[in-house]
Amino acid sequence: MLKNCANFLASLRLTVVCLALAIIVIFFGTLAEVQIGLYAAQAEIFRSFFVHWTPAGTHLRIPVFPGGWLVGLVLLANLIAAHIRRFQFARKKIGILLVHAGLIFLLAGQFLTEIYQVESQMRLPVGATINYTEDSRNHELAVIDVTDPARDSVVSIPESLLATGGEIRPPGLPFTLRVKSYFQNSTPSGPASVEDENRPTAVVEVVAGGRLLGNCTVSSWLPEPQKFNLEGRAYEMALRPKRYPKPYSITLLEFKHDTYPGTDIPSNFSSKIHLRDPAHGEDRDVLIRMNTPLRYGGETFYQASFETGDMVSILQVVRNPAAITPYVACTLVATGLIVQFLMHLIGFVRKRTQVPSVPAAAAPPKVLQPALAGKRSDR
Amino acid sequence: MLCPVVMKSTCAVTVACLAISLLAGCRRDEQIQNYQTPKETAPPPPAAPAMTMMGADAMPLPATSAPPRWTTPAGWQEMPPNGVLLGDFVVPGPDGKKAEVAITSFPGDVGGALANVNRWRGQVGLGDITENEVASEKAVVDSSEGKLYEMAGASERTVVAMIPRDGASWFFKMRGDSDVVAGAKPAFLEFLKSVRFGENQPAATPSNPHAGMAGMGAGMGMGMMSNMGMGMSNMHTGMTNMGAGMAGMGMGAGMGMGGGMGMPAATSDEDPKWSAPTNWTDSTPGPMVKKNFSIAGEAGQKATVTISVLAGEGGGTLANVNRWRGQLSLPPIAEDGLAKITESPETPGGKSTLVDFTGTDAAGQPARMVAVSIAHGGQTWFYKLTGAVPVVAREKDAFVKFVQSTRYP
Repeated sequence: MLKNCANFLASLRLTVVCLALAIIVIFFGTLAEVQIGLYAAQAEIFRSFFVHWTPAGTHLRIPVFPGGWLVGLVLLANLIAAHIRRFQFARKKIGILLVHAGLIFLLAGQFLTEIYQVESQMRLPVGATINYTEDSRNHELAVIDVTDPARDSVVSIPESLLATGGEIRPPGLPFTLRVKSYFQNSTPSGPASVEDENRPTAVVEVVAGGRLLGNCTVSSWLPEPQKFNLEGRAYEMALRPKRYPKPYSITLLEFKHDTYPGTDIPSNFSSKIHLRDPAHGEDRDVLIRMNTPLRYGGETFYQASFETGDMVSILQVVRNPAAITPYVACTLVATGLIVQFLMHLIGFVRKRTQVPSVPAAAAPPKVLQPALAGKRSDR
Repeated sequence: MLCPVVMKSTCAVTVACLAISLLAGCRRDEQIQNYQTPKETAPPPPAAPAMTMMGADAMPLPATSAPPRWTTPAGWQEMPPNGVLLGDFVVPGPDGKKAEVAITSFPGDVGGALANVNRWRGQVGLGDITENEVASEKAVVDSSEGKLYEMAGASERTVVAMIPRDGASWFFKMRGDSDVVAGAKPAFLEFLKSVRFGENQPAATPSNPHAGMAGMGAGMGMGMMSNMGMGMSNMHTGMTNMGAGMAGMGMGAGMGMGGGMGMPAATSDEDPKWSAPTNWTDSTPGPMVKKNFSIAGEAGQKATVTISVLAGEGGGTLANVNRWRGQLSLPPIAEDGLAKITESPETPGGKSTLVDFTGTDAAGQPARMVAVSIAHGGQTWFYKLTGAVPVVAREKDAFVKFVQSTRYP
């Protein structure tokens, strides 16, 4: 039984089936992006173990097809199993081993990327200095003690806790919050496309010492936080895109939106920023352009977008601890292919060089004569 | 030879798969976090919809409309605009029963008639229906044609007029005790006939942080935990849609600067002509304030005159009077007490309401306020003289003359 399982896991048939399923998932996932949007297609088809079907009028999620993660995971397991099952360290196979190791590294690295990558945005009006990035796909209920004139003390409550409802006790604050209602998406024009970003809203009660202080509506639609005072301290509360505070700050000095002469076709976007990180002695200007990102603090800042009027630049900020894995994987695969090719080339050349060493007394086979003569005559 | 390899292989693969599955199953950022951050020196304005590099998904700002005017039926109690409610009335019935009439407006069709009808049906305990089962009557409000829906539950009843106008949907909704709603329906229909829509005005934009919702934060800053949740429960398609409601939330800004209470009015190109006494110093107006004068008194005492304008009734006389009284640490008064403390001097803008209070200011010092509100041209103008008691006493006559000398365009 165990042997059968091992054979199945390491079989070439499983590899072929996985590759075929991967093709199907990619093909239909790409088509689905048209219908349900890029973000939803990625979440439902590529970044899930199963593609689910929900019968009309129910909340059931019935798995109907393997998702991207499952196909990738089985393929990875298949590769590792095959590697171990057929592992025979021999000089002749070192190239093949390297190629397979590269593929394993690529798949494992992609899983790590899926798990640990954090994408956010930095919205920079010209002249503004920002020390945080925002994730517009995820929100937080920020309860901020603004009493200190120099620093704010922020308690960030994830949106998922609002969705759960009930009572929330922000640590270090003299009150609790009771979620009265929560709306995952609150848009101005009825049901929104899943491609659109959610704009959540919640109504929470503020309770201190068992006494209800009042209701407070928090919404990502509100441009200003809700404010209140309690026990001599000033608080603000806002439901906003989740923020990732940074130990450094970035100031947008200039945003350029170049077009091809005589047309409105964009030719280049660039943001000239000033990076300031006193802890690491950084105090310099940086030009971020399309395909020329800034890499700093384990994050990569790409020129992603802008707002009308060219006064606001939007940088896509990506933190991916596994970012190096594709490069390592590609290097491994390329090295393996080169090694394999060179080994075959060397073997071939050796064989060729061995031909003249055949003893002169040994006459060539007669059957080759007409063929060789024929080839020569063809030229 | 094979078995150890097989075992090794199976174990390794199983462990690898389990590890990856566990990692994949981990949910990050699901914990409450606590951190310190330097204060934002200059917060950027609210994000406008970002354009992609192709500029394709730029989204126009929603337009909202100026508040409508109406004639309140006898017996209905008009409440100040609350959150997204552009109009709010309580219809009293026998034995403490009552109904509420709410006016709201949102861009677009707000999910369509069927979705809204089913939501309203749910509110009165009825089940969903299909599009073919939706029954409606024709409703006309200020020459805009829409539909009137009626949902009768076991104990509650709802009558709603849904009027599409200028790309927005207006909702005139009466909901409450079945008997009260049924009895008030004729008055509700008369009320619909009396409604006149205002002219369109642009929605609050990031460049105008004092308009629209920006004011709400200021209102909260006064220690008032706004009960906006109530407003939310009246919104359409669940809590959809604060977009159009934004204009109705300028209340806080109005409070902060001491003007009226309600929606900020559209800016007129031509302001009234004022003729101020020579000892009044024209100073920089604050948010929402049209004009501001400083008046110096003796021993460093001073007073200020502010002029502001809000659309419609600016929240109503009683609400504003009680708010002004609150600013002087005076208790609120009931509606029947309003006539005792107000005067109605004639002004070129029309009939006005004048109040004169003496109390204490936020610093605990004696202070006096003379305030005049004038309804003119679908707007309400607010004139306030506030400050040290001797200065206000000295300037009151000049202030009243100033108000009466104003020439409106």
